[in-house]
Amino acid sequence: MIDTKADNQDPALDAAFSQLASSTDSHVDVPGTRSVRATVSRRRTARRMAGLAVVVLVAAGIGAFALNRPSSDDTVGPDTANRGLDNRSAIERVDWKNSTLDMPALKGCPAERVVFKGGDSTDAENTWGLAFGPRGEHKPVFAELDKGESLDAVLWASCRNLTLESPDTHALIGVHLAVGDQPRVMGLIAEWAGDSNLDDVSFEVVDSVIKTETSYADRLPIERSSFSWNGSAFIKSAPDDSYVADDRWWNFKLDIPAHDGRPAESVTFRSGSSRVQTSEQGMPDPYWTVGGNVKGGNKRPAVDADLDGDGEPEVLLRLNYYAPNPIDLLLAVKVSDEGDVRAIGFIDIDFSATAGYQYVNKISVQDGVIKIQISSWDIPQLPDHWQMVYWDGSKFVTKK
Amino acid sequence: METDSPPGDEPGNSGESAQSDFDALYNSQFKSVAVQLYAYFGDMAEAQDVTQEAFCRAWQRWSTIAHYDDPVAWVRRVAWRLAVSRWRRVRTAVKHAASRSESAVPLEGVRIDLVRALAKLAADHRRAVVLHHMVGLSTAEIAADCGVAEATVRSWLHRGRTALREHLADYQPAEQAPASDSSVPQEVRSS
Repeated sequence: MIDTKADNQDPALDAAFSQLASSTDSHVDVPGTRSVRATVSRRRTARRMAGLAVVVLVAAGIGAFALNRPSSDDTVGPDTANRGLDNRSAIERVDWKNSTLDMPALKGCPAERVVFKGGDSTDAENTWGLAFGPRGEHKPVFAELDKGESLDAVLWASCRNLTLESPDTHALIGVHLAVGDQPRVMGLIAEWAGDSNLDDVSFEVVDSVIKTETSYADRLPIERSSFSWNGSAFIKSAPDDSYVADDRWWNFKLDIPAHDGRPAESVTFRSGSSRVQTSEQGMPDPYWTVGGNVKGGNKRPAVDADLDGDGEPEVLLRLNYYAPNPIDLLLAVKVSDEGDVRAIGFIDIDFSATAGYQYVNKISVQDGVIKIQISSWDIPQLPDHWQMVYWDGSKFVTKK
Repeated sequence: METDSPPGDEPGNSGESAQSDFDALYNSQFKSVAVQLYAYFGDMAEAQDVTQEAFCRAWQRWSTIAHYDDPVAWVRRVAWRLAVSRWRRVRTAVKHAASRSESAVPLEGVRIDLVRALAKLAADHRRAVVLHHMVGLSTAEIAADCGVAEATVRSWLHRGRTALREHLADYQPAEQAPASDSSVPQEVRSS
């Protein structure tokens, strides 16, 4: 891909913007820091009043309950429930706040069996909570998560490692609820760890798919994710706006061979990327993504065909390598019956034949020849370039 | 002095120091951020509101943000996020942009032609152009800010600049603000 700094230089525009900035400066009214502090103070007071109101309401509720206690407990305990009552209302009354759950490992807290009392549990090392998300208390969402016979639930969970000075880790967990049995954790759906800029998380369950929306104070856009039960764990789906059309290529491991000066490395793709989050200020180390640079953000499936003439299909993955000089690559991989992914070989895309910012427009395979259509992003009138690639028995080579 | 200490900080020397650091950042950067957002909104009142809100959020989290290498980068990101959110709340961005482009109230001496031309750009393109040419961010920094690939930012910039030049050419000198803009290179005004 052609990438010259000069393409982004425009002294005339820089000058125009500089003039705009200097001429506008005098029109800005600065409210001042006293106004900032007054606003923040008002908000803190309002939050405290709201919290106080909740305490008063809860206390009033407890008082009313004590004065007029119902004849039977409104929750269905594991030992007292009627096992034949497997209906929604009974499920919804399962006393999950006072249950023993095998909690999954969350950031800072190991997986462990936790005995909850009223939704809380604290031992020497960890404090666990149920029902509290980043914005306060949440009721569980009852839904069918595993398409089984019984209703399940999505619960908020949180934990804090008391030996580490770290903020709460918040998580959504899937829980099997059955009348007469202890609730049982299916697994971790998603977690949000230690980000002071986490603003809000909302979620809904639609057709057994858990859809979350996460907003942060300091970044765009709102993160939308989907999770579903695959029989043994909750897996994250490729979002609608991703380039990955097949969830199989959203979360997987791959040993990427050495190529073109880059060393071999073992890469785990999560959410289509091998990027490991760095500090808020820093730039990430070089990383890989799946999907390729696709004009218009269209989903592009991986090409599935016999690429090396062995009679079995391989998959041609589009990969981006994000580094100071980012590059688009194609990698042929073979998928075993067990689902393991093994690299066969790289295909170097020839971006030298046309100009401007280029991208792989289409890939097709015919009679063992891979046809790669390369187009110019910003100079559409330029003719496309077609690159023909074939397997020579040991590697992929471009037809001259 | 509760109102003068950042949330989470105890009043006292550390609180006074935090307040002093915050005040210095605010006083040195408020106008700069507001002007950037004015270029995005074409509306100074909105730009000031959003900038003030971003600084309020910074003060709420000052005990954390004060330790960042570049606190103003955080403020700028929050301000832009708020700006884009407000922008999206408008019924249709296109309708809004069209109305703003005609109704933006000229500020005396300001390049209103540039503001109006910016308003006609797609939101992403406008954001990239302002962040690159006004704030001076690199394409990599804009990509990190916007959560998109760097190639996408380059595309936004290219398209944004191309459209901006076309829109600027549409405006005649008579439509521009009263003050002379003779210092602006001819290439920008007429290309």
